[in-house]
Amino acid sequence: MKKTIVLMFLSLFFLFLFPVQGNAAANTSKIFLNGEELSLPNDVQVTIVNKNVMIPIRVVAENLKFDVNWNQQARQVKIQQNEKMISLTVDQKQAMVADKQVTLNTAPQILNKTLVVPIRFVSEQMGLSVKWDNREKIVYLTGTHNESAEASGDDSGDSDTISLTHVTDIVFADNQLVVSLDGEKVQPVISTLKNPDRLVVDLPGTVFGDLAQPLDQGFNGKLDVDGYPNVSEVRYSLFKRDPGQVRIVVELNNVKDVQFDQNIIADKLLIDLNVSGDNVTPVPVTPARDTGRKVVVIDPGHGGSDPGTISITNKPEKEYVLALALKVQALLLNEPDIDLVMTRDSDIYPTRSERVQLANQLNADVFVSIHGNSVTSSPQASGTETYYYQRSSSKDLANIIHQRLVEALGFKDRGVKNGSLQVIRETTMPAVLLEIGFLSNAAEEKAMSSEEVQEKAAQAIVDGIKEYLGI
Amino acid sequence: MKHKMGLVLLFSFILVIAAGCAQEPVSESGTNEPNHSGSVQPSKNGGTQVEPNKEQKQTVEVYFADIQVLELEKREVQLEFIEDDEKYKKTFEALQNNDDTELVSLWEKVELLSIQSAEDTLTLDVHIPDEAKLGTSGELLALEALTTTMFQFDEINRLEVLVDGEALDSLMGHSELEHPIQREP
Repeated sequence: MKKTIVLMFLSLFFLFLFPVQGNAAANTSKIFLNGEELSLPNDVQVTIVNKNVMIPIRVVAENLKFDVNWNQQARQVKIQQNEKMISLTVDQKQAMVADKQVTLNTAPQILNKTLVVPIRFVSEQMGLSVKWDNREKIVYLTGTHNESAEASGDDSGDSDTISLTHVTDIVFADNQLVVSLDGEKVQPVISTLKNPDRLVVDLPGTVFGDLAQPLDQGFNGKLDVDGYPNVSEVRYSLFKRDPGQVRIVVELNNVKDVQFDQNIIADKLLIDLNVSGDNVTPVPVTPARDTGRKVVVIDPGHGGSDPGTISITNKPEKEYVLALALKVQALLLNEPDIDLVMTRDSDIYPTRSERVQLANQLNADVFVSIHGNSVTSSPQASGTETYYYQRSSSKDLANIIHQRLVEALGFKDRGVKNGSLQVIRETTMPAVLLEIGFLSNAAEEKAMSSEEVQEKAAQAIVDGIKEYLGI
Repeated sequence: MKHKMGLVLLFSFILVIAAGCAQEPVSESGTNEPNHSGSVQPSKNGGTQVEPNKEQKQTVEVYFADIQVLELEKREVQLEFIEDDEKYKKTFEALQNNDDTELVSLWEKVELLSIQSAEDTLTLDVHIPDEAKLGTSGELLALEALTTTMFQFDEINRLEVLVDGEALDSLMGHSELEHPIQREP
């Protein structure tokens, strides 16, 4: 109801205050939301100001379905979606996100009597990820949070919205291609080609989500596969756009035959290229794994249906550990000698068995599970504690990371302990489970919520992993 | 302390009267209490021959954690009960009720839905609200506290812990839950 009124008001506002002119500038930019083109009204256009893509506020309200509230006197617009709220003022670079002030690259402005706002800022603050194809002048918005926008087919007959799955991570590790998806419905189509030998993985019904790996404006990217002598290139692209289809091509070197084994663990597709033993052409001699590249599996605890413990501020553990793990991910992605695989990089729940299976299948060199401790009945309980299970390699890794964490955070040192926990017991490599601090302790919860402390903890974990691996 | 003793005595007195008059056990929640009023039941109490419906007293050991949740500490409590399932229920309740400020009960916020014994298996069905979920340290100690407490009863060799009636693979997401947990030799 409120939305309707706001929309009505907006329409009036644009109709009467800013009578639309037949703007004939030949700028035919398009906006895709979750793989579907938004049908923009004829009189609306996407403009570029200072290299920032600006969209008319009408698009924000009508196409993206956010609540928009214009205050004529203050020349201020409030955009709202669920709990998220931003407030922008015409010709001012200062904007508010909730109650925090941020600075925009380009101020909202009135162009041709229409208020335009920076699409990247607005969309990202509202939980959408934004990609801009400069050549084709296309804005791609993707997001899982934006249910109201997806369910907006009520006014059009052709509302056969295909729900697309997002590719969130593409890693090449231990001669295996690991593709993370945010859904399990995808049926991969895998084919092989000769001259050069290559494996082509098509993922129908997928687009790129918030991909950890680089993606250029044309939706293409490549992985660094330096340490893999039998692999000359791994490239990926958005091969089809309507509906989406991501294609990943692995180009091979010195193999007799392109062979592969396919395996799905939780939301991940694993393709083992079998580039060892008989399949590898004997010259040049390429031992299976002396590449110097190490496979690291980072496991943010719990997730999805399993919230883990609860903090003193009533937030689930799964949120804290994911935030920290994503910072670890960001740091490890910069390490040329590390191939990183995350057991989850969003709010999903891979079972503990699946996490173990993934690390074992990848012959990971190191497995690090990240958790937050809690005993709500004893808010005094505090400190950092690290678990290993029996293996002396795990104990060494535990000691190294633990020492760095305690130093970095300054929480009480609860010690390194032997514990029979599935993810560190059933994995076959050096494996540790970190209980960073107590979310039931007010001081530690506050610290663990802060970006700064999370950065410190992430750096300590990464430094510890590197020290253990001798990188 | 004297005051507390007095209360305990008074309570036992009321219990005796109540049991004697109604010929029924005093049940605090009434969940899954088998109805045994009047009927003569064979004793399951580890071979000790006792008269049915006669109140017994026993000192049991329960385990709490120190406030830093680093290790378990043993405490003794006196229980009064008429038959075994009541004994187990009261033992679990004792595990939840700690009044020592230096200690913390790891089961305090867990809700007991039912507790029943059959042969040598004791089955607990619990509900674990979010605020009762513990981190790794707490979960490991909570399981140890529960098993050590329940396996002090010689007649129990297996402990089946269900969460909302289901046999989950883990109580709180770190350590696995065996079904049933076997007494360690």
